[in-house]
This record gives sequence, C-alpha cells and structure tokens, in this order.
Amino acid sequence: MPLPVSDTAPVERRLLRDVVYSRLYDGILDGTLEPGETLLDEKLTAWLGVSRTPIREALMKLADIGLVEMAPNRYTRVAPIDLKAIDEAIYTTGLLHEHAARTIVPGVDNATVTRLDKAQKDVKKAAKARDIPGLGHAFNDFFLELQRAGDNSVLVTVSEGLSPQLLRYISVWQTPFGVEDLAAALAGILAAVKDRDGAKAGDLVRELYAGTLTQFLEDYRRRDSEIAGSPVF
Amino acid sequence: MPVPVTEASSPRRLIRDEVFLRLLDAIVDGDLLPGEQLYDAEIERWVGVSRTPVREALNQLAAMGLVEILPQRRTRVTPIEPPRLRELIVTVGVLVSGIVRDTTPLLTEADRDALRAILEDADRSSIGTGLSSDGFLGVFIRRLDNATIARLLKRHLPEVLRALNAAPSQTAHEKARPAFKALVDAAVAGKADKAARAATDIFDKALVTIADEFAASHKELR
Repeated sequence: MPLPVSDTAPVERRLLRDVVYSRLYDGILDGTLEPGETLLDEKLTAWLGVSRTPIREALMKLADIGLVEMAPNRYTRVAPIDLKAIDEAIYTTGLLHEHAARTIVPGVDNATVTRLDKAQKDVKKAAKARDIPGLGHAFNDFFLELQRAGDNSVLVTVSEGLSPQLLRYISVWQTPFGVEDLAAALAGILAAVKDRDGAKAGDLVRELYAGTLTQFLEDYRRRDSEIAGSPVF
Repeated sequence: MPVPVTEASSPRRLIRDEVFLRLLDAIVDGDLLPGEQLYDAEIERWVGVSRTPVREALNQLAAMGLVEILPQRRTRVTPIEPPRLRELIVTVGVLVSGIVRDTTPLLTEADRDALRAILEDADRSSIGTGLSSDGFLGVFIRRLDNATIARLLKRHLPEVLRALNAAPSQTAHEKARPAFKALVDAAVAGKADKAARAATDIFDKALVTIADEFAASHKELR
C-alpha cells in the first residue's frame, strides 16, 4: 500500500508561483507591461529574481484568462487590446450575473445587501469624479459580491476569470455603457435586491448587458458566409 | 509602440498538443480513472516524448480541473467531487442556456436542418455528443461566433463529459432526452426563451442527477 500523502503542497513553491502571477497580473492591468509587449523568460527571471519554472507556470495561468498569448517556439506576449474579445467577455459576464441575480437575490442576506449598497455608492462617486478605473473595480465588485453570496464557487471563479478583460480595457468601456447610466442602472438593481425580487433584478441585469450583444452583432460578429465551415472551438 | 505580430498557424501539430489531446481523451473516456495517479515516466513512455511537453500538457489539464498537481508530491486525475461537479454543471448550463437564447434568432435555414438531423440520429442526439462540437451545441456556438464563450466551454465541458461517462446509471441520459427534443423543437420554431429553458433543463434537471448519484455512492463507501 502506498504511504498516505498529506494534501498540502510545499508552501515556498506555491507562494512563489502566486507571487510571480500577481506581479505579472498587476503589471499588465496597470500598463507597466504594454499590450503586445514580448515577454522574454530571461528578462522576467531578471526582473522578478526567480527561476524559469514559476514564471512559466504563472504565464500559463495568465494565458488561461486571456492576458497573455503564448505561441510555442514563436513568442509569449502580453495580449494585445482586442475590442471584440472585451465585448465577448462582457457579454459572457452578463449571462453569469443575470443568473446570480435571478437565483441569489430572493434569499440574499442583509450583510450582502450592505456590501452591494457600498459598491453602488462607490460606482456613483467614481462616475462623478470620472475615475474610470475606480468605477470599473466598484462595478465589478458589486456583481462579484452578489455571486459570492450564493453557493456556487465555480460560477464565481469563472466570473473572476473574465474580470481582468473588463478591468484592463476599462478606458474603452464607454462604448457599451454610459458612465452616468451605470450608477443609475446599479441603483435600480439594488432596489430590486432590497425587495428580494430576483425576477426583476435578473431582467434589469439582462437589460444592462443587452447593449454588448447588440454591439457584438453589429460590429464584431462575422457574416454567416464567413462563419460557415469554421471550427466550433 | 510594440510591433504587431502576424498570426500564422503552424501546420505541425506540436508535441505538447499531441500529449495534451491523448491525455484529455483518456480522462474523458475513462481510460484514466478519477483519482488515478499519474507518473511522468509512464506517460513519457506511453506517448514517447520527453518530460517537458508532458509537464506542460499536465499543467494545461490542471488548469481545466482535470488533473491535480501537488508539486514534488504527486499528480493524479482529479477525483470526482459531487459538490464541485454540481456547481460546474449549473455554471456550464448558464452559459449554454444563454447561448441558445441569444443564438436562436440568428439560426440559418441550414442550422435548423442540421438540428433536425441531429435529433433524428440516435447516436448524435445522445447527450454526450449533443454537448460536443458535432452535436446541437456546436451548431449554436458556431453561429453565435463568440470566441470567448466558446473557449470557456471548450475548457469546462470535458469535466462534465467525463463525469457523464463515469456516471453510475443512465438516469442523466434518460432525463436529458425529452429536454433535448424540446430544445431543438423550440429553437427550430424560433422560440428563444423556450429553447433556453429546455437547455437549462438538460443541465439542472438531467445532468445534475450525476452529481447526486456520485454523492450517494460516496456516502455508501464511508
């Protein structure tokens, strides 16, 4: 019989990979690493002072959420800004948020309502101050708080995976949403949350995100003739 | 300004991808069982490649939740955990239901024909194939043309499918059949919301029974 193995990974190693991951993540979101910039292993090992393995692991994780692009033997680079991908990610996020509203709102606890209230006020303040990054974070928090109040951690993880697309490209965000309208829309959703009216909240979330689908269909989706024969995945 | 790099796809299938696909198929089909220990040396011999592409493929599978890597300890096929499986099924169902709702108005005559043909073909209308690129889901995903949501499904569907293949009974298959027919009928008739509800049923009523069954059998083992 094999000896039992305890379920804890060596701490140093796991931490290292996570530290590298968050350094790179932040660097991409705040623009230190520019869109399209080539990421060379030797430069990253020099910058972060760690070996190649944790860097490769972190890069694969970042590739997974669309912040890095890897073409083996050709390049590894910061993903260029891609308006189509942003629109797609926001649309997808909308589906998850709508579901959260419909299923979680009817039984939501008061502590969550308080957190949503705060996030909505932050969105309003940021909109007034034209603090677009702050607005993006608060907007994102509003829905993530709602999702965390539910019991589906996979849904939360998938939503979190889509967040960086939203946050990174926040400056081009005015297209799908008007900044002022955003605070008002969240106020409406918050009112439905306070009434524990899941159907109403869900409809309002759907309305809020409907613009991204319209824009996708008008600006980004290929014509049917181009779609024919293309691979599904 | 950074120089843009043109996309060129290499005709040569990379070794890493080859290893990845071999392992993926083995896990989804059940040749590698949930919880089974994976040894680098065995995989290297089995696929006939060196350690680096094996590790990269395993990392990719780990990101999909199919493999569990504890550095310097062990690597194994992720065991089926009923609570996580249930959450995953619901989450994938939310995405699929949304795709069905928003793609139904976009379906072409050829798509409607394809959906009808899939429904009539017993093999292709099984729920396993239904959720693959050859089945009904493929018709909707291709027509919507949203690469981000397609990538998410490509990543998460294998974990659902391997649980379906490992399921103790046929209950999920049986419960999915009427929902699947309802979906196709509604979509062909252009009824988006009705089709979306049927899609939700496939996940929330049929596929979740797999999670329930695994939960029950885990309880028995204890």
